[in-house]
Amino acid sequence: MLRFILRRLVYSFLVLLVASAVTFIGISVVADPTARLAQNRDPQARARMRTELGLDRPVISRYCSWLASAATGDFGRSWQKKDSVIDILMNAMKYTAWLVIPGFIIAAILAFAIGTYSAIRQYSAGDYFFTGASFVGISMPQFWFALILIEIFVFTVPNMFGMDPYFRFIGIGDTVGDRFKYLFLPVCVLVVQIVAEWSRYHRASLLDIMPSDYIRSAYARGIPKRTVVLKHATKNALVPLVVIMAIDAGLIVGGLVVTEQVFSIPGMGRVFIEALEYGDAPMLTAWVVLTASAVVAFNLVADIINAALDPRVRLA
Amino acid sequence: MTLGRDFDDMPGEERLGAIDPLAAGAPARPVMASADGPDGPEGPHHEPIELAGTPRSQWYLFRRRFLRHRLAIVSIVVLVLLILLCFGAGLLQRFTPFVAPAGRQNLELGPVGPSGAHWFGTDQLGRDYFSEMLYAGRTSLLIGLVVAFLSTVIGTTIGAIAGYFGGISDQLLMRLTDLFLVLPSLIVLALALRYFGGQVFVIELVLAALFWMGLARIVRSQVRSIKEKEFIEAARAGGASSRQIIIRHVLPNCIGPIVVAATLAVVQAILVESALSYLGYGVKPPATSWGSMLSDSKGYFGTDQAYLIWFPGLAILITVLCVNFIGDGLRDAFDPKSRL
Repeated sequence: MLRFILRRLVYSFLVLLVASAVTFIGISVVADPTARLAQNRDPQARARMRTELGLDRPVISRYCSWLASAATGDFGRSWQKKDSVIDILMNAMKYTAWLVIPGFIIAAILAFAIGTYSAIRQYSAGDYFFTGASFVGISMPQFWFALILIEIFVFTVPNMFGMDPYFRFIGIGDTVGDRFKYLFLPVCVLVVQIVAEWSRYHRASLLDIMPSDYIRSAYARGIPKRTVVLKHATKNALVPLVVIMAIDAGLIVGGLVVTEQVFSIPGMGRVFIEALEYGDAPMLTAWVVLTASAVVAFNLVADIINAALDPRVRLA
Repeated sequence: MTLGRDFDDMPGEERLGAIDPLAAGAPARPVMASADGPDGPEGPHHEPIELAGTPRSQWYLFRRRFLRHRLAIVSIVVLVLLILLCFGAGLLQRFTPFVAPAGRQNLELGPVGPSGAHWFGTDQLGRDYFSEMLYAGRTSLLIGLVVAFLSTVIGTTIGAIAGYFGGISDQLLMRLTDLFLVLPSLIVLALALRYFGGQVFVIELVLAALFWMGLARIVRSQVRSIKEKEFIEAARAGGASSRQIIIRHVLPNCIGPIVVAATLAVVQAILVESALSYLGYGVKPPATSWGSMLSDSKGYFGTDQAYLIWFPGLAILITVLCVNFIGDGLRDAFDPKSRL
């Protein structure tokens, strides 16, 4: 177990190294934050800024010095906003977390309920409905779904959530009611998208388990169906669902770019878009390191959960 | 939606049931003659095993299972109609009144709602939205198909070479695959499209370069187990070259996962392209795609032209839904465990 974790940590470290190198060098090649000064009246302005940002050095040497300071925990300052990138990311994470945490909890409950229902009532009208709905859920562009929700709930039906029609982000709000109003639609988009996937997953794993011998013996012992499904079968069927949840938790930290953009939420997605537009190398690289770390960490968590819940799995 | 995960529940090697080309058409298939099957023999000591009907080929079984999947069949019909409509838009435009030439503006007309003359209405510039959708559909469908083709070719080639030859080529190719898997695809896409511009073929190449890894891993593991089978040994004894063996004997046995992965790639490509368009990294004018039309339509919120938001999204939804259903049908059809 310990060896497994250590090996994974070494591997994760390599992953982060590659990801940061590609991002840092990539953004430096693709975008020049000083280009906008080319038309400046002061011909020295651009050269001064280049020196200031260290752009006069070759990109490899810049990456190496970035790496050296990142190794000490100093990820530098954003070129665009001048603040420490760590502060900017922490602030953005706050908004993203407001979206992700309620979304995840609701999605987990719904996916469990729908998956269980569809599995025990396989081929019923309800099962077909949820199957169809989840196919639609995974087949639509999520930002289109967000746009449609806004069109319906903000413009067609009298603005029931009191959202700003121009979607200037006002803030998360202070009272529970405010937060509910601002977060309802974005959380909806997130929930629909992940429930569509997770519920199918849970249905499949329950259906996989229901024909097992131990389920049949449980029935034979006269245990009511409810108990058999919710206790005996769920215990084993839950493992794949939990593993998927852990993996998705990692992906979603940086995966809400489009949803956040539609609802003008100043979270991680916004930071990404702005850093990319500006050519803000330290900001973008730190963003990638953070989101990639989340993916790597939650993958590790998924493996550990899997091993803990399923004795057949050995970590090696 | 991660690409890797969907592969996990695809027919694995044991589920695929080795499709042994040398024995193709041989009657003694366990699927057919299983002792507990409804029309199988009663006991194991029955004299010569009586099989109902004529021997059935794998292809026959596959076809039969697929045709049972009604949604998949309907989806194929819808998809073919969509493709014909979009790619035939040029012809339709010449011979029918309801399709306008691409980008023809009618500023005096301005925006009007859906009607008999303009099925999906017109936009601010008076362009017929139905016609524009057909022209944009060409780009979207083409991106889906080209990306699926390219990523399937890359993934299959790399997976087959790595799996068949093993050793150092396996190591090298699999580390390359890992490297691509590790790259945050969003960053790579955005950087590449920012650098090369939003030309359609650039988008296709970049997407294809990011979608082949899952398939390469599956093909590799399938090839590794298939190459140990007797019929491969027989082919090698018969003097077939490695290339012949891979193409003629090994890959036909991996067709299931390959085809299913191709449908997934179509879906991913169309959805990712639309999201990129929304973020401003999609196809650039004058080229249009459903994604770029959708992204342009976001200005129509809460105005009388809000109907313009619906159509491009619905087109993407219907297309992707059809491809997903077809993929589902194929997955079932390639799975010998599924009932006949």
